[in-house]
Amino acid sequence: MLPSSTFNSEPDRIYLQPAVTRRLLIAFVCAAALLLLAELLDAIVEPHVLGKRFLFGYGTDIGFVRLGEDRIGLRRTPGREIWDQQYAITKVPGNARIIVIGDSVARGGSYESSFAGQLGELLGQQGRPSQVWSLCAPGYGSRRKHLLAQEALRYQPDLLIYHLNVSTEYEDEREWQRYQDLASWHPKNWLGKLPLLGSMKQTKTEKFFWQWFSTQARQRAGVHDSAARLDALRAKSNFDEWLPPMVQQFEQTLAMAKAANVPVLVLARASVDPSKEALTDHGLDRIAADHISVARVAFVSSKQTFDAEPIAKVFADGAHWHDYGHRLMAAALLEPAKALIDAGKR
Amino acid sequence: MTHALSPIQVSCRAMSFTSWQYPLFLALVVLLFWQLRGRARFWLILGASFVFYGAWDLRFIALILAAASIDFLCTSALDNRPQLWWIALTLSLLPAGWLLLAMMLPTKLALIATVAGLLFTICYAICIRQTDPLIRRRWLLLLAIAGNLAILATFKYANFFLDNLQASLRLLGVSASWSSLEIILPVGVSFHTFQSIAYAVDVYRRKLPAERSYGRIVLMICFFPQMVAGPIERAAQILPQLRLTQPFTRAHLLAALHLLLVGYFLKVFVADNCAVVANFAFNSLRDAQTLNGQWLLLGTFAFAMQIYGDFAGYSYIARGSSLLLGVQLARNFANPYLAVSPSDFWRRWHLSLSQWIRDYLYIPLGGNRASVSRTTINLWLTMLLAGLWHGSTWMFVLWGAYHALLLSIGRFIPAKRALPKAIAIPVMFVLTSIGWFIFRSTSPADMMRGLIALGNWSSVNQEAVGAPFRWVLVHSLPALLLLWLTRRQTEDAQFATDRQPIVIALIYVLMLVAILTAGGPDVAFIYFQF
Repeated sequence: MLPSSTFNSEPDRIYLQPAVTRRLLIAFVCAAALLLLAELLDAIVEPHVLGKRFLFGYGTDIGFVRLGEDRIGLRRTPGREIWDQQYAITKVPGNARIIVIGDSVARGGSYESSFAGQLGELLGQQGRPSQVWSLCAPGYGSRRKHLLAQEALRYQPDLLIYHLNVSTEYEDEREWQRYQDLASWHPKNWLGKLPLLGSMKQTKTEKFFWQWFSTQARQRAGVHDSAARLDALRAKSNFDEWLPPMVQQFEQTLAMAKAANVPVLVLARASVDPSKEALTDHGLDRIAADHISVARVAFVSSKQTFDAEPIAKVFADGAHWHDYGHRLMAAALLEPAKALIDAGKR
Repeated sequence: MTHALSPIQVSCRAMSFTSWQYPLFLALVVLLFWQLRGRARFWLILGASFVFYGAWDLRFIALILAAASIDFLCTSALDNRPQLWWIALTLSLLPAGWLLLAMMLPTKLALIATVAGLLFTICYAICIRQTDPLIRRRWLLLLAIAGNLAILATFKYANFFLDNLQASLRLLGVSASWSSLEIILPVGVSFHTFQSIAYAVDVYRRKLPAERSYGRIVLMICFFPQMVAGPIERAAQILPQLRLTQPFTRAHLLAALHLLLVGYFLKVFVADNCAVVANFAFNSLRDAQTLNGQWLLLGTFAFAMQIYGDFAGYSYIARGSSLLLGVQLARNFANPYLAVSPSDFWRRWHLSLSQWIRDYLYIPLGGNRASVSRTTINLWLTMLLAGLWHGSTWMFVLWGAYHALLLSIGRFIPAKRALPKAIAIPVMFVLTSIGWFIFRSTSPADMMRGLIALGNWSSVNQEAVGAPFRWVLVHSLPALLLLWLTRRQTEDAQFATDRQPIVIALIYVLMLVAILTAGGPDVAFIYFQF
């Protein structure tokens, strides 16, 4: 019943035979060469992504690609999924440059259908040709929006439209942790920084592990990342917790824009309160209003803009808008935007 | 598993093979080792082993010293070289001395160790004063076994025995109430205790002379690549190698890298990722959450793959690490999921334990040479103890009983009635998995909930099972493929001995990519708790 063979001695002898050693040597060299080649190819094929993958949107110029002397390309990259766009860097006299910074709500289903694209159309129709850059990326909270604003101000916009929102701050926390881990010198992160394999590892985590297992499932399985996320999700509804850091970061962004002499139009978010089937601004309108005393800052309320409209016509879900909502928002932003741009010229 | 792991789960990450510290630690030790000569190598490995084990808890080293003192004193006396009283006293008090040094303060623990040391010295003195050599040898062997088992019983089973005693007294109507002792389970205590007992028995049986160097016995017990979860080595095999005089060749390096690669692949890619699904299912049972049949089957399959990847992976990493120092450790796995019968399974799973049980428990009890009823009793006794060895809960005993039942039934099936391999392998896998279900359940109540889950195939209020199923499939198929590739070999890692280098290279690339992109949670080795 129990094993009858003698206790195995020298079990590794088979691997130490000269013929096997030769095979193993060739195999290890080939394997190392193949992996090295793959890493090099990745570095050559996707150089603009290289080194930015692990910043999770916490670098300033991620997604900004110089295309020749006077053109800038805005590229969708891992960690900063903005719409692909191209612009001349040198401003054309008479053309206003407006830069929109926000999250997935402001990003819309495409550049053209988003309020950024629509606003450009409306301004053009009124004889005020403009460039409206959309720097809106899903999951962006105040910390990464600040970094985007920092880069955007280098391109001397005539107006910054800032989408004020608190509901995606929790995404920041999770990504921030990963960014800090991978930005550190710690040996535990060395292998994760390989351009190809590191990216594959992140992709596996983001696209499969996080997608295939619900947060609750990961939590019950004892996976530690889900605990932090669940805490964050719980805190998502706890505005008392998230508002102070968001407001603090928002004020820093306003101060930075003021220092660069760029007016800011704040767009305060509203979402659907399912219990009341009505819109709620979570107090963001009041916060935005509190800051319009700062010179050259104005605000537009999503709640006021959409209040008279049927919710189902504007909202695709509790937060994101249909194209109709974007059109309404573009129309609502038009006049304050024109006023701020004109005030800036004086 | 999480239940039993909980006290040591945190500390298990101190310097586990999968921690970021371990590869750096191993590389440093290996580099230094091959630069040194003679005794310096010995001191380096001894120091490294203390650092490795001490990283969990410095106090654990006292246990190593205790086991080594018992082995050294008893075996040298068995070899007709009893130690002088002051040497015996000094070695017996070494663990207490270490505790004083490690904790910087006289503590209750150091006091207990001092009393235990004194008691052992007295027993030792009584044994060696026996004039009848036969009785003296028997008493010395008994002392060695009792001393080692006392360590195991105190640190692993004390609360189990006390709790059960309390429950039994209550059943008899006797009022008994005491709280559980606050004892930390030292990592790998079951492994090094069995190794120590085997050494004493082998010296008693005159299979090998007693080791004259106390330091080498300490190193035999705490040699870092194998100390926390085996393989359970035989002194005759490991002690000569611990002279550390072997030459280092390119062959050693390549073989070691091969074993390390297979080990990390099985642990990081297969086991840790399957653990997510297994933990979900069994934690749901533990927490009395509703679970359906699909989840239960998937969770059990995931755990079967997890425990295989975890322990086989550990064993290969241990062997690879050891081979880098020129020391060959015993084989622990031989394609266990290709077993065609219960006895075949135990010829393939955790070989160093099953062979230990055979040589030091089953055969001394009479083995299968006695009557059918006696053999069956031996078999059950052996397997129940093997189950209890895994952990101090009745679920492990039940698991041992389940395997005893399988082995007993297997004995009555004549070889000519055996199923064809293509059927026998899946059937045995299912039977083994049922065993893993018992093994992983934290209580009989969990098991009952699991059985109830088998009657529930509704997906209402259940997590969707589709994506987790794909997850388990992706992470277990490569391991099953590895088993198939090595089906004619003596172990799971042996796919590289008869294939073209380019094929081996491709397998290496896939394994490396799997390891480096694994991305799963960091899960403590299951067998570290045993």
